[in-house]
Amino acid sequence: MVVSDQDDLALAVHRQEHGAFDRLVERFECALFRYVQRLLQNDHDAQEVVQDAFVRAHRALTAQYGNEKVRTLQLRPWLFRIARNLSYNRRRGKGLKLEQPLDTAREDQFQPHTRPVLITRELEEREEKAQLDRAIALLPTESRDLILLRFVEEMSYAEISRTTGFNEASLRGKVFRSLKLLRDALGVKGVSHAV
Amino acid sequence: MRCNSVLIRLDEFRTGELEVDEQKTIKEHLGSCSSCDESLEEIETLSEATRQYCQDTSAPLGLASRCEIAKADRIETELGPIWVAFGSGGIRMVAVGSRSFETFSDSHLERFGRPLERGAIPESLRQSVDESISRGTVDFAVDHSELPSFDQAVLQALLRIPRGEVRSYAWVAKEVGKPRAVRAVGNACARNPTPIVVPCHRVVPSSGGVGNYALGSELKRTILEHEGVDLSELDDLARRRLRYVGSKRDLEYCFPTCAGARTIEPQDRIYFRDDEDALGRGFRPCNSCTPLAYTA
Repeated sequence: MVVSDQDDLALAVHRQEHGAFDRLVERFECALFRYVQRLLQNDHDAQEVVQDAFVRAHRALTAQYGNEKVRTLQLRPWLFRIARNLSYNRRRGKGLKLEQPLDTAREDQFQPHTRPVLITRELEEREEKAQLDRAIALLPTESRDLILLRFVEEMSYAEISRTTGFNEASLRGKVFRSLKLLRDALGVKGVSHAV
Repeated sequence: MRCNSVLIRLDEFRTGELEVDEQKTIKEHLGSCSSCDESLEEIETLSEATRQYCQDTSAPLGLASRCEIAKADRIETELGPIWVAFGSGGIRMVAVGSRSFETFSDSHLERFGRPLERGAIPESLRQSVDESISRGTVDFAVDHSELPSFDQAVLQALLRIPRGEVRSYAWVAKEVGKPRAVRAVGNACARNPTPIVVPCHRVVPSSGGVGNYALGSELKRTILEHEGVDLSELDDLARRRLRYVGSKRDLEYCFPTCAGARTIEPQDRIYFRDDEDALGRGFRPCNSCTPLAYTA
């Protein structure tokens, strides 16, 4: 990740340079979508949230923020923070505690195969992925959120802190507990060591 | 350092995010504490698996174009100034009249959830729009990806109606494979975000008259006359409940505005009430205006 490049992008959008916003969308749409989709466990809501997040980002960068504010802005955590807030709002709006896990197993779509070795490996991978999807889906929202930011988006603690507003010290314990929950949900035989 | 303090720092240790001396202390601890070392391995396995399985989620098709902030520019045409909003997928919205950019942007915001940005229209696109109005060519892309699929099908069908001709709502309904959805076609036309360039004005009621238009029936009449449609002839035929004209020489029947129909000699002309009437007398539907529509 090239930080200065991202900051340039924010400035370019601020200056309304041609194609700058399209580049910003292109750069972040995949990451934002997979984050929100797993956070909300809903494809449709995720699309709307991501779209809304980009619109808000555009408005903020072009019409609301001054030059200085854009210059000091850290684009990635800022965008994730917008998407995260919109996601939590939507969740509150719908009064949902937890959505049903996404149906990721799709066993019925499995086509018989003529290569038995491959079948086993494919099945294993599919099963492993399904297990992980389920485990993540069943985590409490906050833990799921942190697991996604830390291990899928590979954010630093500093970035996660900017995204979520948790301070770095408390983040440490929160991420540790989330990892523990994920491990338990996966039924991994963990080391029963401390905590 | 005690195991508890080590454990909650392992994840940062893994990525080298800790201060230099903390990294060092933990490294030493791991050398002497096998269970903390195993915990690190576990965190590495979990993080690797999560990354690998979750990162392959790709954004759904079209998300990029739905997040795009389209540009808007005003161009002068034979019908006066029009606003055109365009993105990478083509023309997204059109508005007639001398409204302000803000009004146009607001209507886009209301319709599609995001505003527009001012931008110069590429010369080639400006020319295509201009020619579509002056000559009826369809040499531009329209981006209707955010509309319901039924609306998309209806608008595509409209693009197949040549300049100077009109079709009925019933024909469009047949054309999109939903012959009973005549009202729905009318509603889809009324919702057309790209009037003029996608010619919803070329659809009229089977019962005669020019029918409704989102921008006012008067304008619809003006545009159709501008395109060379003989509205008084259409009104006259509608009053006599005649929908098609045929040629006794070719034994083909057409919509009265079909380019082919307009060349039929007066002595060869014959009029029909409906398809059954024409087919019953041994006439074939014209290949160019396709009274029965493609899907029939």
